[in-house]
Amino acid sequence: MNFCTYVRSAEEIEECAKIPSIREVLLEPASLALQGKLSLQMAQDLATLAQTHGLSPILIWDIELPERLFQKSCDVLHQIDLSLFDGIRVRDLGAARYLATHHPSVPLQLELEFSNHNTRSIRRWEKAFSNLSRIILSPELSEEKLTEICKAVTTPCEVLGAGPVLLFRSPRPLLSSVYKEDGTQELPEQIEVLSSSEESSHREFPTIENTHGTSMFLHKDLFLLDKLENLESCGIHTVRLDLRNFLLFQDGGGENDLSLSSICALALSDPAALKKAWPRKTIAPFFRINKTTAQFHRLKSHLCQLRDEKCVATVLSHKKGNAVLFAYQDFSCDTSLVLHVPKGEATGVPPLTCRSLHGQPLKTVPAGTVFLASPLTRARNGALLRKES
Amino acid sequence: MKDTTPHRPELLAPAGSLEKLQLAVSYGADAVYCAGQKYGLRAAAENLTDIELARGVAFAHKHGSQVFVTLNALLHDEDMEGLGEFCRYLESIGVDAVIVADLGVMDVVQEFSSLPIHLSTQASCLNTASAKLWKSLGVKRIVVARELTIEETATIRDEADIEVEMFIHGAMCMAYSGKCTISNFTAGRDSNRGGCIQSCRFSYGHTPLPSSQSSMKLPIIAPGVEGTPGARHFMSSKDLHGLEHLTDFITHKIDSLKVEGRMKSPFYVASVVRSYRKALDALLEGNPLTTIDSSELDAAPHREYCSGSLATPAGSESIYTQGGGSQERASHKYLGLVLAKEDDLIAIRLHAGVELGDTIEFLLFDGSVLPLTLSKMQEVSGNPLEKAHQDSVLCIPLENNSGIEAGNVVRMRTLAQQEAA
Repeated sequence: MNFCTYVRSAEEIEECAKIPSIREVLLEPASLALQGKLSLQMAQDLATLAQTHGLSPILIWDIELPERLFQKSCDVLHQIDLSLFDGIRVRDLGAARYLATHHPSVPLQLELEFSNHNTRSIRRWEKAFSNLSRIILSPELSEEKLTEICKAVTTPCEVLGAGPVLLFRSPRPLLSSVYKEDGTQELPEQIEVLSSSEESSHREFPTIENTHGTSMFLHKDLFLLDKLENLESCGIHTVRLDLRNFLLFQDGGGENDLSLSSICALALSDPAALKKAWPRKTIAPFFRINKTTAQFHRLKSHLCQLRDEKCVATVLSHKKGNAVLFAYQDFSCDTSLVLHVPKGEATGVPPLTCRSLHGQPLKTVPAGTVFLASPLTRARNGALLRKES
Repeated sequence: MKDTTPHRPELLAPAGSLEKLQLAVSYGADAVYCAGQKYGLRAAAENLTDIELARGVAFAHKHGSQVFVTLNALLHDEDMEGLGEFCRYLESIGVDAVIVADLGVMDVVQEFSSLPIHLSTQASCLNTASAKLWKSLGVKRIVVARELTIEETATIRDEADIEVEMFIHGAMCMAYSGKCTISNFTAGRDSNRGGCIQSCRFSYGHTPLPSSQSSMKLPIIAPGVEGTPGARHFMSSKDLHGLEHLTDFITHKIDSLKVEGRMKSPFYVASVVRSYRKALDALLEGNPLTTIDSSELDAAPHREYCSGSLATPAGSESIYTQGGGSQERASHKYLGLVLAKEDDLIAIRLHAGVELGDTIEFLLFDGSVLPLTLSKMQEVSGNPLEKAHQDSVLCIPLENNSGIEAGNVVRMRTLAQQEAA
């Protein structure tokens, strides 16, 4: 299995160079990357160093690009010698198009982590960019889906193997606003806190604000390094190790002195021990199955499905077998009808006596009218009257 | 010769149900957006069944309005089942466009129909290059990300040569739309498939990360107690209020102005749509913005308002720090809808109770407000009433031809408003 990881110093590149499974390093200029710390010069120097060590340096350009920033960001990109890099990784689709148009020979790595969970979309993105060299897939995809997607595309795919899960991104300065309101006068360039809420069971979510906005992360690290064989079987080409906040986010569990080389070695030799030693709690919530729509059927009344062409009226109120209803369509009062109540029961109703608002007997109820009907002993507000099948 | 006709943007309203669709059209929406029972982003909303969609389209078209159907969930493979047939159905009933966020969904729409495609704000299209890409893939209109200003959106429109739509009013995500997965990972509900649990509306406390290398030590900030003034909401956005920017929308030729709120009440839909309809019409007739009364936008419950990123990128002033309290901010209480009118008698389904002597108000379709002090009311059976309860149906005999119609919203000033008056 190939690993890739973020690097921020020459020492880290030298360490990567000693690890056979790492063939690619990710370099993040502060002006182009969400969590970037490098100056443009530093990013280029590290790219050169990586090349000399036989590593592929990839430039990260993953900030969101509102129109006002787009050209500025492209101008920053032009200050970089792109020939030093083996590819550019982007999240913004405009950035992807820009690279495909203006730098078609530069291999493009496309992050599709947030909003692409079906094979069709990923296949179409692959077709849209002839210079695509990597697709970064969502951590919400199950093993089965990863397999299907990897089979459906020819571009190598990557997933996050270990590291924080980005939950939320906003361009707004959310933390500094809180601190300023609290009276804190001076704030660091990057604000780093744990945010917790009673409604989220006091789970502590690492939250960072920097010049690119505010990012919130899950309270546990995603950890798939104990599933490398499965990932390989799925057809995953590269597994990303995100250790950028390895020390910053540690929660007191595991070991603090895990080095990149020991992580890579343990991932291959003893992943269970690695998982145990990991300095944060870990999670792999969707690898087996993604059931994030399982609760949806409970959110909705089953009666929604019954408002079809057979549905003639709904109960607005009721008292002692007399109900006030609203007619959705014209119907004859001697039609055989079934009453469906919100809890799910359905009962046949006897021939109804219907009257208008003025108390006039009705033989046919016109659509759009409010009318009285009896006997409807089991009526409930919201119940539906439907024609019998 | 230069065309001096002012640009007339489309007013696009939310329709969480057939009733709200009819309401939005009747109160002046040029177009409405709604969802079927699947594929949309509001799993808990009532939404429309197939037959209701057909009825809704027929109603809207009869009144000169358009219907856009949202297929804007970010679907997994297993959710795509039946989508092609649904697209064919939508085309057969005359739906005017579909709103899509996912390229896979777009692919299905294109395979099974010729429906025009609008790109949902969930796709977070932020720039001209992105708009050009989506256009090349078959998108006719871009609902731009909420992070863009009117001016930036106009640039996208001009440079990508594509229709643009912007949110003008309603609740806002704090996150880049489609880029928030808090619900997915913390509650097992996919926010991008309609299951958002609105974690951004919770109050949060903050503790500096113990391992932070920063030399500046930040204090601990307690979350406070939800529902009290001390509660801290750092990722909850104020609601958008774009009325003051209507001239800019027109000047910059924004094609469509969208009101958020498929989950909101008929009262909200009626008040907001009518307010923007009146304001737009007045502006297009040459009246200055200063003459436009925006007080109707305070009628229904809402959070504190801000102008989002319409003029400049939203900053700390857009954070709804105090949370809660949207009911308290409403000038009126929603009483219900006029369901039917027969001769001199109207029937109202009550959302809140009323009693004899109360002064209620009818919001007529032309935007005027008709007050009525209740001197006589009765059950549908004709029995006289002194008090009518929530969830009952109230009949009121009218003494003259008042202009009240089925579908009118009925409301009452809140106690605070009555006292202030």
